[in-house]
Amino acid sequence: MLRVSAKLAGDTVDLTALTGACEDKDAGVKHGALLLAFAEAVMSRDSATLTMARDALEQASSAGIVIEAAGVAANFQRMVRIADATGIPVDDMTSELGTTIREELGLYAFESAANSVRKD
Amino acid sequence: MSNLNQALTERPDIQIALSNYFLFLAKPGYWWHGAQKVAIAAAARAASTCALCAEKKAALSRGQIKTLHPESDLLSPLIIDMVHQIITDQGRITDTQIQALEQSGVSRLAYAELVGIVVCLFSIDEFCRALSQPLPELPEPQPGLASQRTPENLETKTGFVPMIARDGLTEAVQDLWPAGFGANVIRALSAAPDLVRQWKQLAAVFYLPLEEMGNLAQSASRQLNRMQMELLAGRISALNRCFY
Repeated sequence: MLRVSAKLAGDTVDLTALTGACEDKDAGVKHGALLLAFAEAVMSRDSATLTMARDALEQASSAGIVIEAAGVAANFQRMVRIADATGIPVDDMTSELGTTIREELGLYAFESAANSVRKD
Repeated sequence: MSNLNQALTERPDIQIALSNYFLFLAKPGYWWHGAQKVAIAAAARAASTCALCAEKKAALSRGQIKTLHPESDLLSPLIIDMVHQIITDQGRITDTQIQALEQSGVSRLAYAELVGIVVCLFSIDEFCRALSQPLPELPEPQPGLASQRTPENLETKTGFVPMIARDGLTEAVQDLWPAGFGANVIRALSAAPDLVRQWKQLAAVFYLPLEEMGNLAQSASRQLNRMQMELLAGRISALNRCFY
């Protein structure tokens, strides 16, 4: 989705940002570094880190964007748990683009890969 | 009033979706009555600070830690263990565990409903926590029996739980996904259709309505563009080690 939305916008995005390995802190996305820091702060469960990341994002953008960012993070905290708790496989494991991205990002090392790989 | 609180008042859709979920949570479900649903939500809320879960998460194999969570009046230790694992160590849930639950009397249909209750509550709590807002109080359960209703056209070949076949929507559940859509993550909870409705409602306010997901540029109702949303979503998923 990220790569396709970037292509549609005529931008180039560094997908390694998803695994924290991106050298360009913004990864080619406006406020990318702040959004990534916010995601990591949410996952850290450390309230001081979270407050700092949230304040930095709000200062660079707006309170409305912070609320949307919290919503997206909360949404995907749910989605990953639906996928893993129900053991669903990736819908299309045959696409070349998907395979390449999964290999590039090292996603096959995740435990939950077994739900998709075993069904191939 | 802080800028964040002011901005929250400008998103009444979020408050409505949250309130709707708690009204839903209090009512008897398909396989769990109201008090059990609220107890499942309370267990989900307690998981993030559970010391036993931290120990199990750190173990090379969860089986190394034989201790079970203490039972409650309404939920067995095995059920509480699973609720906590969905929050704290979801990547290591296996079909063998679902079989063990089944043998203890929790059917796969009931498990699908339980997953839905847990993940919707967790999503709401995570939203509040991300904004340092107080967590909403859990509702008083309503009396009544579980309906034990099951939708038609369930298939059992996709994941750990039965789900409505991609082209199996009947009139009673035709609102669950648009014709031709039916990605596995949408079908995953469809054995308990009201849970799909609840997560769709939450997704519509936290992320995007299902109907707008095809718009990969900029939603008219959002300030974040789609690249920004997907960057955040992807990082959260990667940190959760989610392959899907």
